[in-house]
Amino acid sequence: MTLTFSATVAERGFEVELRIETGETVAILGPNGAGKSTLLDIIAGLLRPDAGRADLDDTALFDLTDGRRHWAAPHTRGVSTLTQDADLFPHLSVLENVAFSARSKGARKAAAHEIAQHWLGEVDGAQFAARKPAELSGGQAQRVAIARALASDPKLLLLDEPLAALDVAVAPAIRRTLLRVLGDRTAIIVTHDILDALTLADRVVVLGHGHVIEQGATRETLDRPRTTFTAGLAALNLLTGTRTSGGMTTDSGMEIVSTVPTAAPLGSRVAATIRPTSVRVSFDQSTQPHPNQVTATILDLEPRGDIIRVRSDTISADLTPTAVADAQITTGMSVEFAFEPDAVTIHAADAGTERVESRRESPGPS
Amino acid sequence: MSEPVPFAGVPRWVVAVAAVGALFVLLPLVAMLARVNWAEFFLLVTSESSMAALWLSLRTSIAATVLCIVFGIPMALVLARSHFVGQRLLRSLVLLPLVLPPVVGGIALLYTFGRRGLLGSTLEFLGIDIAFSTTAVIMAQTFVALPFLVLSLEGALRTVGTRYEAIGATLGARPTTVLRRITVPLVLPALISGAVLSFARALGEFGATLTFAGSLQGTTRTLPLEIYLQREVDPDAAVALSLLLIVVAVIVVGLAHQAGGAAPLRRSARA
Repeated sequence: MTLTFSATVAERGFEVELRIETGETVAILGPNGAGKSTLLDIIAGLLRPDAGRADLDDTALFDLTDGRRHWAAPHTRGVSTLTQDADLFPHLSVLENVAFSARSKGARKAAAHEIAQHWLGEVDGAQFAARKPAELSGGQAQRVAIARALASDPKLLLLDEPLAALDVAVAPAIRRTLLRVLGDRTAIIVTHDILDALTLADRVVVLGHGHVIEQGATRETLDRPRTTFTAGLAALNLLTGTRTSGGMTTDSGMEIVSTVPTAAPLGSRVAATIRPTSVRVSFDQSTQPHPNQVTATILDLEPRGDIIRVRSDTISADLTPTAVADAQITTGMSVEFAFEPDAVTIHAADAGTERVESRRESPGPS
Repeated sequence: MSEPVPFAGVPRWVVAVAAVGALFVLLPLVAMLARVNWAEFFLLVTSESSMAALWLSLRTSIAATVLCIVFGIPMALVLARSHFVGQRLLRSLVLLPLVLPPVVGGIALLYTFGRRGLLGSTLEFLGIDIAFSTTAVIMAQTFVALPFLVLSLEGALRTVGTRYEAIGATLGARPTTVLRRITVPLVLPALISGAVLSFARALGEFGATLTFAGSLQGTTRTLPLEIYLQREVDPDAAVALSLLLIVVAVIVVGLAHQAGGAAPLRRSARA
């Protein structure tokens, strides 16, 4: 099931071209308002773009090019959606929810229930069959929603932040279920979570302001981010600039020394990544000069499990809570961020690398 | 031991004003009960003309409620789900019978479906004579009751939103299947309460019925018309029939309320 897609929605500044190969799972990343939901809605047939064309294998989902007005109704597309809130039909039992698609396509009750039982079994949800959605926990409801989407035998599966609304304790189990059932399916998963992309997706597409700003194999793209958004997602510091013999000169004129080998030619556009765990913070201006030292104002202290991310507008450092407390670090403070030359990885960046507004709030509607 | 009372925060003077309002509604009912001639009550309500009026009222009100459901659901769907130019104006016009004096509604119906009305000659050609028939009663009741159903259903449709419908469509269900298996079940409580309101309005219809359908025993003289007529000649009968009308209305509303309450609408709980 190969999907080729191109569409524009002028009102939302949306202009995306995309190709997804048979059996491929592609993660769509991007800040809020980047156009992720718009993309899914257009593919599902819930939103009509101004122009464009999409084909799923040999069938045209829509064709609005050159004055053509072909538009396949959502129920004819074979595209199923899994939303973050499960959205199970509240008036139907779990079994009837999963059997809904088969029943709607004319299957007899017994046959539809058999299909539903099978898919409930696939997601370890057979024991919920007789319950009403209101009697399920969030994780259980999402399992049922996965079964319901798969039971419709979709040619293409759209997952809209399927784990975002779940408890941190439940999400890993559902992620494993998704990993198992996605297998050879053609799927698009919109996510804010780097872990979803790494575990579930073969390829990532990063959207920003309604355009594709970065795409490629998941690992490679996240290890060598070209935009601050992707870098932020991969929990990497990203500095862009020009390659020099010792490392690079950043766009703001700062010299960065790197001892990690790189193939990027001298004078070319490059991006340097530094792990926040490799960055130290000091206040004493009189300490001996360090090769890589950035003076910056602390914007935010973000607790992340057993570490605290100290963020400034240029660079972030991961410190232990005790280190933050001992040094009495607070926002608004001007400090020195320092990192070793062997912690700086430099890779080639496109000349057109855009700076995308990096937003790290909790996931919300986009 | 009494249950702990949660904080309400209603000022005492508000309670006092509410009590006056409640008295204003309840006192007339009590006054009427006090005037019931209990000795002859059974005889009065089982007289031929009374039974004919009651039976006619029930039949026409049920028919009008069915018509309200048949036309009201599509109207509410169009108003709640589609966007077109003049939609707001259309909504105001559709809800006009709510604020229109029923007599005016009756006159409007007469000039539309009456023998000399807008469609009168067409209907006459087809051999259909509507004015002053039981059909006219049902039409008058439907005319005044329809907005109640449309209004309550449109609100419910907007509240429920379209996300379940969208999911249903992506699962391969045709629009009609989505309507039958998702939309209508989701708004069923509102549909029932809207139908009850419509039925109650139809049962009490007086002005439009009298104007458009007249007052012919067994054909167009519904219970409210019978009560009004009896009031002139036999006040005891009028009071007894009024009580009957109240009892019928309370029973119907009570039954429907239970049916509606049995299907609570809840969103799936999150962990």
